[in-house]
Amino acid sequence: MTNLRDNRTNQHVGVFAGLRNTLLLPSWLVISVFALAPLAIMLVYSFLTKEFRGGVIWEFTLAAYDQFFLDRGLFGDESPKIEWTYINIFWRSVWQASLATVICLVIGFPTAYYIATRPASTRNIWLFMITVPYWVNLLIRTVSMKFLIRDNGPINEWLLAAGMISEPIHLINTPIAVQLGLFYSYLPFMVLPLYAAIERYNFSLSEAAADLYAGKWFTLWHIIIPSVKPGIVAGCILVFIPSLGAFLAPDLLGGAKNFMIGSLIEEQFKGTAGNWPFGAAASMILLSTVLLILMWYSRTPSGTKAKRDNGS
Amino acid sequence: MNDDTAISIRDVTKYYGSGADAVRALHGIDISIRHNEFFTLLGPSGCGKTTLLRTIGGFEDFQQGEIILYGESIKGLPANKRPVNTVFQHYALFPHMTIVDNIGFGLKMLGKPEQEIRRRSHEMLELVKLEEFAQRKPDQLSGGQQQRVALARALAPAPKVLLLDEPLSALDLKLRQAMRHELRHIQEALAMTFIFVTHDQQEALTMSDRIAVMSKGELQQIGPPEDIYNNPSNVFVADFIGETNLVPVTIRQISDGQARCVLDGGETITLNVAAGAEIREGGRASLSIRPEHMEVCPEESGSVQFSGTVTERVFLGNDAQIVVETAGGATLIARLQLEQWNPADTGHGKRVGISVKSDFVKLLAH
Repeated sequence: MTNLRDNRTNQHVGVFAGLRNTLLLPSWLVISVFALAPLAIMLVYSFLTKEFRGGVIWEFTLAAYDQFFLDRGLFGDESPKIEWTYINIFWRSVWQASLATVICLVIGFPTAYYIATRPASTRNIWLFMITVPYWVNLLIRTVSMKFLIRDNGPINEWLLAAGMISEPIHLINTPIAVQLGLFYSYLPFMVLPLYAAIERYNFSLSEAAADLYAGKWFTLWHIIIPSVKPGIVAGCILVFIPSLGAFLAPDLLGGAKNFMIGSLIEEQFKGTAGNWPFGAAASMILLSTVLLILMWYSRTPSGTKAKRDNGS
Repeated sequence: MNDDTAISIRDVTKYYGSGADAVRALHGIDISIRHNEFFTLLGPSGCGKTTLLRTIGGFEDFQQGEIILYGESIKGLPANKRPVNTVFQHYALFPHMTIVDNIGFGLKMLGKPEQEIRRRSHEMLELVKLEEFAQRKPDQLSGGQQQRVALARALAPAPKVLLLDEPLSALDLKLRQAMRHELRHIQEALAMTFIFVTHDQQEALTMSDRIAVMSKGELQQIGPPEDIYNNPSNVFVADFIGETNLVPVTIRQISDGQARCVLDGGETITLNVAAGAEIREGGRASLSIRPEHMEVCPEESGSVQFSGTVTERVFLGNDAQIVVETAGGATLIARLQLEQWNPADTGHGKRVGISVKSDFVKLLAH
């Protein structure tokens, strides 16, 4: 991202600088009012004292973070131990989101590759078909998924009627159901950037590899994947981040046992049992984890891995 | 089949698509390419030359015929099992690998020991004079350097035949001319069979041992450059290779290997008929005369075949050309000696005569 900026800006500064700033003003306003300001509010709220019926009292405290990480007993008078409840929920979320990302990648890559290698005239039809389900609201799609996979839902009934199973496959309220929901929700976010990358891929590189005696799998791992890596990274980020904060799929399909961090945060702001500072703190922890992961990724020099592979 | 045949292409026919929409890409191609030969497939774009090269490389299938590589059929063999390598038109270097890794790729895939890969890669780098660029990435090299890396990469596994798909077309003129010599030099030094695809007749004429001229998926003529240039087998070849004047004629009579032809202006000319030329009495044909074989002389001199009016003059530096419109409506381009470049003799609107030795007038079927 930063490279792009370095290369392209500064050349047209001068006469157009005034005009450019004027045209950029709306974007700056939107970003600061709708993105930066809410973030700042959340950050501040996470250090405030909770009001019991929702809302906050303007008194500085670390109580929210304390509650997330430390267990001081039922009455708060014991010596602090590590509180695993929320860390476990958090860890489960990271794990579920990672798994959803991997599944989306494994299924999305062949899909995107298939679309990108169709004749140019039919590619748009395929892409259209990938995006059609997204015209329907996420909540409705998730509820529909719940109906489909119920113990007495159509899938189980068909399988029973066809004699392929003797009792219903129990999916609802399992981690698998959550995975199904996440996968179904975010697959296009994987397919579209992958498609964009594969479509730009120079297929004569695959021919060159075959010409130089490489097999199909070797070509996939060592020529195609390194070449489309930016698309893979973009797709993984676009699936991982919303999956990590997802609450519809875990709530509706996973039940109480498969609670994820998104649901935890959601509950803090909903109804009367809420705890705004705690929800804000959990959001901040989630946000900083995502930021750390992204920073860690962007600090890894791209190409290092590829070089190591070839040099061996 | 001779013992020194490297590749024998037998009756290869290829269609794209099927049924009524099928487009014929190659039609009954028969070529034998000799061991250590620099063989060029020449033709305009869409003539099937690249398709033919790709069938040898294993990137295209074909419906009919056979390709024999050193006595063994390679039909149906996947590209990565064929002992031939390709220099691709746009090089297709692996962008995430260093130059030396690009060059060593084929050897690595063949499972050669590390040491041998390193030695051979550096040998190839030396051959293409790029030793100091070993650790660079392809995008840090100029077009000409990338082209040489592509050549080194394809040569490194010592293929039985090297296929080159218009490798010089992306280079600028000076570099292209230098690379012609270098390619030919490398081919001779390594004693390797090269099959070279180009649409540039100059390239074909200067580099090749033999040329196959193709058009519309069909073979037009095979032969050494001099032969192709001097004795084109049909109008297409004469027109495509070098510059020529084509004068349409009607065949009046054929006897004793000689044809009496009538130009559209009414003049008659008697010419030898080359063996195998597909012409018949009453049919149409063309005379092909190279501009350099036309001698411009005063209209009154004895041996004049054509006479007409100068309509255009072109100065080319080392020589000059005039365009002459004959009474019969033919437009002829004739090369001038520089001492004839004066308005008094060959200026606009002057009447001139053109004489051609009859050996240089080719009677060609359409």
